[in-house]
Amino acid sequence: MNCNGCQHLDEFKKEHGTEPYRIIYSHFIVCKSADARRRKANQCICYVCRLYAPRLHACMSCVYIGCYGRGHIHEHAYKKEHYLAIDVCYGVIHCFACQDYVYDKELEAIARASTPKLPLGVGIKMTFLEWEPSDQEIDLLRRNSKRRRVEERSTIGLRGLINLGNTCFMNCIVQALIHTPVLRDYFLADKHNCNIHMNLNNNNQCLVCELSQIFQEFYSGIQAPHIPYRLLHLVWTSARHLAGYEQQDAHEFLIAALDLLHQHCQATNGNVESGRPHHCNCIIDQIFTGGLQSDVTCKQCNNVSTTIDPIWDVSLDLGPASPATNGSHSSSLCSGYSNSPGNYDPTSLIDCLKRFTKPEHLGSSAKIKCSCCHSYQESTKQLTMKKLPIVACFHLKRFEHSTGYHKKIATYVSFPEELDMTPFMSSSRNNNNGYSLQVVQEAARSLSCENKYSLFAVVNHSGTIECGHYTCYVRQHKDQWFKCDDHLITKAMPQEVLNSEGYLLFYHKQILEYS
Amino acid sequence: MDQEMTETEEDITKSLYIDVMHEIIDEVTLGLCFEIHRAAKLGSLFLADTDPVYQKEHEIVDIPGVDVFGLVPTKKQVECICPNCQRNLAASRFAPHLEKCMGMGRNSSRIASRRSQQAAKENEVRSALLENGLKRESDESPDDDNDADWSYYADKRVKRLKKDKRSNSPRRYKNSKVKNGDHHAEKHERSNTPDLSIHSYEFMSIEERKSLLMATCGVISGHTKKMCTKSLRCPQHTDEQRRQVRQFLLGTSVITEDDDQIDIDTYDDGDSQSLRESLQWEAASSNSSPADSNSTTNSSGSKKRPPVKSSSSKSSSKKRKLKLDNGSSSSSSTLMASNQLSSLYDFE
Repeated sequence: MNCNGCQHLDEFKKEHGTEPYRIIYSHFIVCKSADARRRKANQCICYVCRLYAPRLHACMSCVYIGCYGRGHIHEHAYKKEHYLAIDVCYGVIHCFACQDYVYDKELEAIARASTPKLPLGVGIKMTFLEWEPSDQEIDLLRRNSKRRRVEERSTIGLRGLINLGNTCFMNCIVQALIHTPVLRDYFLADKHNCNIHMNLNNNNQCLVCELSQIFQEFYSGIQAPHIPYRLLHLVWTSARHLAGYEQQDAHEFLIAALDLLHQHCQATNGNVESGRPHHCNCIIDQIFTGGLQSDVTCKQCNNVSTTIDPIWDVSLDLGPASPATNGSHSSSLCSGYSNSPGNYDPTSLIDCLKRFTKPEHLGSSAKIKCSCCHSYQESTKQLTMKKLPIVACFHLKRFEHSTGYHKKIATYVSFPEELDMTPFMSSSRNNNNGYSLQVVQEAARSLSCENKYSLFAVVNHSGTIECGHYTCYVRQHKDQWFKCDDHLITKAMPQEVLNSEGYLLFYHKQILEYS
Repeated sequence: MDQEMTETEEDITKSLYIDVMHEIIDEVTLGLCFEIHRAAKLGSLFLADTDPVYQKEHEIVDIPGVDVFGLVPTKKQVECICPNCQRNLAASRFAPHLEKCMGMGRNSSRIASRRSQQAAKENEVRSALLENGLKRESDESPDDDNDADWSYYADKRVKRLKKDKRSNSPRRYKNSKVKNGDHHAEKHERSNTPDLSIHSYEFMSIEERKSLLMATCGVISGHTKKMCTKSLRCPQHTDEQRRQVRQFLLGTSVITEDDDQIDIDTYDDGDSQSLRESLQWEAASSNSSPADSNSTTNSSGSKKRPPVKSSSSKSSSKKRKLKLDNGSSSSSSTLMASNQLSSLYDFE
């Protein structure tokens, strides 16, 4: 409970101020320049041993450095009555009168101020600052000692959700969102400071607040299922097109929920920039928004026009390619895409992504005016990932709504626990050959984790297109999987998850950079 | 000699490496020591510790048949309060309730908004009722003109109202109220539909009725007051019901094979109970919203109904009813028919 040094330090500060500390700290402890480091290497030796020794201390009152191990700094302190000395490694002050290290807020602030923000030489962009509780927080934590932690074999963070009548689609999305690691960190760190209720004079209108509340419910340790009736009411009041007691599509709900959360975040932050609706720094955009690059190449002049669109999810086609695409491939361009899967059913997520990022020939019926040669020309279009989101949602289009008939495609599509998105990046785009197998193999061999993702939630649909049931698998605490079937939560094996049908797949980036 | 030199040099480099390594480890260890020491001084050292007993309570249970909390999955009924109307209701029925309550939904918004208006109106009526007790009777009498119950069971109704007043269950209240509220709409629908309604039967000749009943089931729905137009073997109705309806519509003359003349008024309660149930079932199976069902009136009616013995007051009320309905009608057979008809209605 003591961050105010000791009486000896106080006396010293009264007499000499804080300047001596600052000078010693900036010259001997942090050493910003190469010169300073050289000087430190030369001068930091015990004045008695004339050698470098561990735990050197610099006297705060005069120029003297002595080692702690052989007691040379002690000798100096008692002889000269210079009781205060600084550890040259970490800048901590030792008081020989109190015979202990002492900590002082004022001096710590000076130390922080003289420490450069970005460490030199090392490839880290930002230093990590540990959270420190304030006195008030310490007091609060002391009085409430029953702390919960998500440990291995702990059910904290798991909770069932009551089905309110055909609301399993909502329950699944809530489970997936609650188990999104970055979103969890955001909400459990109490980062959402809402002012919507002040603006609208209604304290129940913010969906972000409601989600925050649900996080509290999930981590409360209560084992009885949660009843998400307030969420349903809020979603229905906010998005009228979702309202109605009937079975709905989980994907549609996900997108609508993200959109609502995004809107409510914007309303809170008040940074609605007109004209740039998707350049928002709300938590939803930070986590879910990726950039999809679309390159249209003119067949006549090979001019490429590029657009980048923000996306929240990637919808992937299943089943055989549509006849129109088939036709164009068989005509002229097919030979170029011998590696590319196109005319057969994709059987894995990788296949789907290959198909998604494959150059597509826009036939003679869809001529586009080329901005370079100013004529309507046939062209090819290719989609690639320009920017990867932190959480990538893949939507397998299992529900086919083509003209005249609706059906569910139940094809088995395998998906990996770990996914590397490198081959589908815009930077991997190959103008001549389209998708190249080589890139995949290189990516698989490379040690870079930059574009690697791991699976953390899978939403499954069972039944037919008219009526069915949604269930969800979520990952918690590294490799533990749980099956969420409305109010029922049971343990699941990773293999069981990977063998499931899969409708929505949620992947999380493995490495996050400070930005 | 050279060899030895290089060996010693190598040794030196090696020992230097180790020295540097040790120094680094020492420094890092020291850093950790300072961190802990500082945390102890500031009092934040053991703050992050968890309660082992508590953690133990929240251990995952991985046994087949129970969930991760070790609980046996049961369909326990949980309740929640509707944020829209503040009513308490079963959580599993919240979504369908909310759709109606908010007047939303992809196809039912019009109906629901109408319903919510009525609910608001009814709320007023209800509070007035609670204040004024039986005053409701006089307030609502214009509404109840075509309610067969009304004239027939005027005395029972008082008791029923009292009972309604006592029970605060929202469900009971909702049903009875919606029935009353929907009266206008129902009447309207009936007059619009070209289907055979009971009133058209009244003006049919015996021959017309006969030919119709030769081909169709003909049981009169207690709910829609329409005849069933399915085949004679329609599974929704029993032969007993078909027999009754024929007896009622064609008069006693046709029923010759059954020598025991059944007077509907002297039915014993058990029989009418089963008939009532079957009529209710039919009402439920017909394509109408559950809110339209008048189960409250039915159940209370069946419970409250005393074993019917012939009584003069009743028949006089029947006649009054008839006059209201048919005005100038003087045919005795029609009189007979509508008498029986009104008693048939009472089975609801």
